[in-house]
Amino acid sequence: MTASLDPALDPALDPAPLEAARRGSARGRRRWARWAAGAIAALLVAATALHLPVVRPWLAARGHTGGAVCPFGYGRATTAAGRRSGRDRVAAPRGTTAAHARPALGFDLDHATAADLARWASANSVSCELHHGGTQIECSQVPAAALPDAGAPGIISLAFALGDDGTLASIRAVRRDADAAAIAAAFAALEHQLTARAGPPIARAGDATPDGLATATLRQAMVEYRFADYRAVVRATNMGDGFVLTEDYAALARS
Amino acid sequence: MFRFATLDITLASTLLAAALAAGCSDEPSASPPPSTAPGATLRCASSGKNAYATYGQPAFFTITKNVLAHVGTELTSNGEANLGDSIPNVGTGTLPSNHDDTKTFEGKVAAYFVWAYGGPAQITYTDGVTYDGPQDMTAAHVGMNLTGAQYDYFVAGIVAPALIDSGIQHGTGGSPDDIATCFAPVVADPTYKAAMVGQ
Repeated sequence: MTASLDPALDPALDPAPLEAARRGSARGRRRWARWAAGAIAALLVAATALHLPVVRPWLAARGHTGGAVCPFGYGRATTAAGRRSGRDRVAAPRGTTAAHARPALGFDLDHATAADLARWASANSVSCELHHGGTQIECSQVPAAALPDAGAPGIISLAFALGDDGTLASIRAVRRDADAAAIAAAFAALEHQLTARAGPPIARAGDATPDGLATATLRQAMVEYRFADYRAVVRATNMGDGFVLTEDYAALARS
Repeated sequence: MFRFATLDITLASTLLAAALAAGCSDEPSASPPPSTAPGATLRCASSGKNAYATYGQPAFFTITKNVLAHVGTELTSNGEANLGDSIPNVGTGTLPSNHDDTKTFEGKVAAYFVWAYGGPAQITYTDGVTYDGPQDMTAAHVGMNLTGAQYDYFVAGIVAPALIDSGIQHGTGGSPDDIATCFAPVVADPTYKAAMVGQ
């Protein structure tokens, strides 16, 4: 018995179903390709949208910094130094007893969030830039009235660092004034406040009087407070073209 | 009132930057190094000589290590907010300020300090490698967007304490003030500051 080679006589040899299957398979591949292209395009649009300036502050204020997923390093703490900037800074020099209080320009270390800082900036018409996914916030031209010690020289720069839990880990302030007396008075007031509220300093150096500071360029007075949970350093420095007061306040992790 | 830094804006700019970077060398621009050492003609109150002649090469290596130690303390205590993205990212980037590894960066800093304050134009550092002192500070800080406040903070919070820790005389107890006479004029010079800020 021989099989017929005529498709008309042998349905098994009819190419139409094979063609239909081939066409169906090609349509499936095209459909899959369209879905894949659409998905990639949607992901690109979403990723772009997440990086837009109008969106990222909104995300940052809700604690979404993107550090775990952003492949381009725009999330939080992308460097070793950045990772140390959070509440894991257990290696920072520290004291053995807790501070009575942790004064920090009126901000609440370990509690204030990006949203709190945004509200403060908005209420005081202060302009700030966000870095590292919103975990570093730098504000410039901050008026003295925006802070509790309104009598001190205006701050030209204020930087906030948020810890891994999204709360305020440290603050740096830099004030500048042409008058040594203004910087000396601010230094003395801060030293008095910090000692009264946090406790006694661990180190003090230099002559913080106006005359002492004005003697020569890079003349400096420094006072440092170091506790188990808090560190503050204040420096008054003659910069040659003016006088600078730097203030550092940091929450330290309780080990 | 919050806005993200301009370097930090969109994925599109990231892709564009990546594409551009891929076609570019990570070497600093080929501007000629400066010919005049900024502190060579300054005279220390204690000796009447420049800082290098007064303190010698080992002291400048100590100053370098103390500056970097203070940077390390700063990063440990406060993160990188006060220093910007330069030193914290040494060895991780493509800018002139951060494309070197840590050892090379330290050697270049030491060579610059030595040369800037009146020493030779080339040194062999503690790692046994030879480094050139004359370096263009503007080119070295391109892309950092260093602010005036960060510069002030670096000088007040890092440089001044490092000089004191290195044993440079600074007028205490009636001693001569070498920091003021043969070190400070360089970092306090507005032209010098302007070469680094905003680049």
